[in-house]
Amino acid sequence: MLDLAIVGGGPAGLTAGLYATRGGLKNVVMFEKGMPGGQITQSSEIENYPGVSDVVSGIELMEKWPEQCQRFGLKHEMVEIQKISKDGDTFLLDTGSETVEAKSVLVCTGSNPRKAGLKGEEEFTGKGVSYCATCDGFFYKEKEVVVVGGGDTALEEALYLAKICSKVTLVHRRDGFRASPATIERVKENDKIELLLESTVEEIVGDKMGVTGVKVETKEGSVDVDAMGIFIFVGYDVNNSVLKNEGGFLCDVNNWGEVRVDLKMRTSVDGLFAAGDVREDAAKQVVCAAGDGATAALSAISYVEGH
Amino acid sequence: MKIVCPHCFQINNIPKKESYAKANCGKCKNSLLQKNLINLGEANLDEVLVNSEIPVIVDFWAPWCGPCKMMGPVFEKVSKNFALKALFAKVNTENEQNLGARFGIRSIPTLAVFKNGKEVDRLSGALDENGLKQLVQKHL
Repeated sequence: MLDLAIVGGGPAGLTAGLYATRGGLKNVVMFEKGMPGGQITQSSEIENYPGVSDVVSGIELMEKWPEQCQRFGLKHEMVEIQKISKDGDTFLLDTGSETVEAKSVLVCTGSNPRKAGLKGEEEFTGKGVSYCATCDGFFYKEKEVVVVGGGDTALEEALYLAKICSKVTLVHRRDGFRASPATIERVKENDKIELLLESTVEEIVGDKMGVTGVKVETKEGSVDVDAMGIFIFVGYDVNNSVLKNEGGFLCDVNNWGEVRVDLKMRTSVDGLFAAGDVREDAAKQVVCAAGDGATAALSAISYVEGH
Repeated sequence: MKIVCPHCFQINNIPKKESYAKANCGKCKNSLLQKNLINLGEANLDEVLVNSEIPVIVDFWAPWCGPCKMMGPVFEKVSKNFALKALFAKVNTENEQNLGARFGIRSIPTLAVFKNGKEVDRLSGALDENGLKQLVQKHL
């Protein structure tokens, strides 16, 4: 039986694994379907992780984490956990082909970019509709693109795309942005970025090859914007499906499905912890997820040692 | 059936069987039970696609793409389950921009399945092990 099962391999899971194994737990496995690193590896630029003073990409930031975090015995299984349940004091993790037993579990499954629910979005996903500017910006060199959203991610990725593309049209439904003032300033000063505020995308249009443009409803009426790519950044949905059991969630979650935790990252279920973007009130920052992971690992150690 | 050697790209004709314990390339003598993923570029892609009688699963990727990197080890792991059933190959879209354009790649990772030189399926976004196995199984 595992001392601790860590479900998810982003900054929270990796840090938790480091702390749990260095702190004395012997049997610790991190379940992550592919290479560890998490959603941050989709970010183009990070300049707010203390100690890393160069502006680096998400991939560069995370590159060294697995080696360091696995130095004290953390094991990585390339498996996606389907469901977590509890039988008495034992947690059962369903991998789809077998059941793994654990004394304690840390859920740090993070979140995923939210779909905007636009007409044509599904049809053109992978054919012009994208949720990752770092991944796909390259295919739009000197082309016109549209960015949808008004938060930090939308603005930062619009700035990134403006370096590659000939023109970026930013469509946002409000007249103000929910982003850091420094980023808003940079967006407003960038002459490759055109703002369409208090506007919404009515439809993504295209042909057999993919997206050719979008119809935007503005205050002055409907306009057609030519674009080969449309990048959507309208927030995130937490990945909480592993906690779904018959009759509801394994532990308490809030109205948005985010896992309720206390300051020690303990959920409403003994021995079950949550860390990073999946928990309520998460700041959704790498440094915060890592901190959560460390806190949760320390709590898991004292839980396992007390049982 | 015709099998393209993943090492030297020689076309081998081998009997069709349920499973294979051993099969070596007639030219380079290396095992046809693919150990490494093959990298395709403009120079060899068409030849491999046309001459392979087993489906070719192509992963269009790039080194700066987080989800591609995440899926990399999954792709390699799953490839070992389909020795001589499907050929697993990668196209680095940074180095092979003409191929990216020719296949209309606008998002990575994109997985495309080819049979007898024709594209029969395509999926964008990172897949986990089960998802990838299902995609391959569908075309065997």
